[in-house]
Amino acid sequence: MELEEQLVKRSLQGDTIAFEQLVIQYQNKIYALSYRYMGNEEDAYDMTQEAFLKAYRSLRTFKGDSSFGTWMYRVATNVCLDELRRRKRRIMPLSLDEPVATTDGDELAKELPDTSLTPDIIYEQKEFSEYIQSLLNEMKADHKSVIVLRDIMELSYEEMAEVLNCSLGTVKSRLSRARNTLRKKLEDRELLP
Amino acid sequence: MKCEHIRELLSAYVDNMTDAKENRIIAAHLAECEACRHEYDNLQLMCTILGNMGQPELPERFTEEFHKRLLEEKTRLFSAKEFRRPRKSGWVAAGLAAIALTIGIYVSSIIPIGAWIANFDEKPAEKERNNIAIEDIIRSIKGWGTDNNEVVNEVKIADSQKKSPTKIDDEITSNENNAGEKVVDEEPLPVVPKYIEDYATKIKVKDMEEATDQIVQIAAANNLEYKALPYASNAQALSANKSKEVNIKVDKNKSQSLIKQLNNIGQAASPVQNKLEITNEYAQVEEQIYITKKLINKLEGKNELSANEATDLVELKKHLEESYTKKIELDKEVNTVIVRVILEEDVSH
Repeated sequence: MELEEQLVKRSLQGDTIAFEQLVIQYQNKIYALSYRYMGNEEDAYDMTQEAFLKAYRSLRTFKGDSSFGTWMYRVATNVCLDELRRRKRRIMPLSLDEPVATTDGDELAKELPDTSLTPDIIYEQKEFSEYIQSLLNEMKADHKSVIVLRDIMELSYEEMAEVLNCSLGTVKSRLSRARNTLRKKLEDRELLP
Repeated sequence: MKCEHIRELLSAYVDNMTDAKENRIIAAHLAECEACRHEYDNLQLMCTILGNMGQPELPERFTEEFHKRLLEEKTRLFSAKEFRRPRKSGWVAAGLAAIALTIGIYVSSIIPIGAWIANFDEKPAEKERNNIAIEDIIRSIKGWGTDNNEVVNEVKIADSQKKSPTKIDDEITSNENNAGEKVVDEEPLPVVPKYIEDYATKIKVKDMEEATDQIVQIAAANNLEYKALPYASNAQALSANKSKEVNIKVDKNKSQSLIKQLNNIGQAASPVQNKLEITNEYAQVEEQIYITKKLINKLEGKNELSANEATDLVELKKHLEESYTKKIELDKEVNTVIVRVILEEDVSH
């Protein structure tokens, strides 16, 4: 395998084969990352494509002092969070308890889908993972990102600071708060002792 | 140390990110305090569970589908999105470069690609802070995610164009006086679409070096900044014969006359205009300014500030200034057009 640096250089000169080699190296990780952000396979698949295309387009902004992988995490994180934010913006104007106005002027009581599973049906690992994923889906973007990057993708604090473009101190404090939120949710649902 | 302080450190403690002194204190505390130990155990258990969630498998069709999309991307004609704004420092003052050329130095050709790449997107070092960071303060209100659009590079704005802190303070005061708290409930201003524009113009020339020289002289005569690339970054040019690219920054209203002048250099195809909409990005900056001002108002309205609040206030003011700087940059970008001249060697001669 060629050095990553050379692949990046060749990609910059328009060599798509070189770029595809880079993609192959990271596609599984970026897909896993996107899956945790987006919460389903279809969106994760689309976001993985988008992230790599965006990386191809903005390769010139990649500075060689972090690894291509870390930079790719950053691009993918931005792509996913941007998409989530875009969706949230579309939905946001509705507040949780306001009635929903329909186009013909009627008002409907808002019904939100019940995403929670009852703890007693969670026996299998897969279901358990899905349940945790559903809790992750409910989290704020900045909390979700630190949990996903650290606890699922197992990045170091330094790498996370690179990916999130923030300081180590911010990573520490944000991760602490995010974990507390998730821990409390799990305790409330008696999934932790 | 109180339980509250210990619990703040537990997350870092799980990851071995606490220092030796903190480790001693935490270990001693956990040995004595059952409640904190319980929290620590659960935190560890949760991290283990998260670490064992497994990875979904990427569908096999990905490689082939991505290959197709990548080729489409590559051949997409004069895509606006491919356009990147270089750092100000990457642009060569036309006058200086013209002098360099006369003594036979072709500036860009001696810059290795790696160094040229490194010139982009230098991240400003962020001050480390252990409690709440600025983006947390703001996001906690708006629920915004991270927004590190690496496509937009940092460009230093001349000091004279920066709004001074005094100016910002003035605006905050007037904002407070005029509208006070009610501002929040006002309807948002109508969104005016904002675009960054550039023109790509492809010119067939007999002698690449001579043509580059001519372009630089045109730029110099008009006192314009330019950047010569050692290769054409444009997708269409990649398949072509020997090609090069020169980008010139020009005011929006002067772009047409510049393009006319450039067309005399060789056999020119009609220029293609690209637009990159930055309305959302612009709106986000405006929203940041708005919210930061609100928060500053709130803090400044208090009679007494806690140490944390005082630090927040400083951070917020810094953030406000940064947001203003970004807004000025975007304004500048909207009012400037980049003319990308793609030179292609004419092999028929």
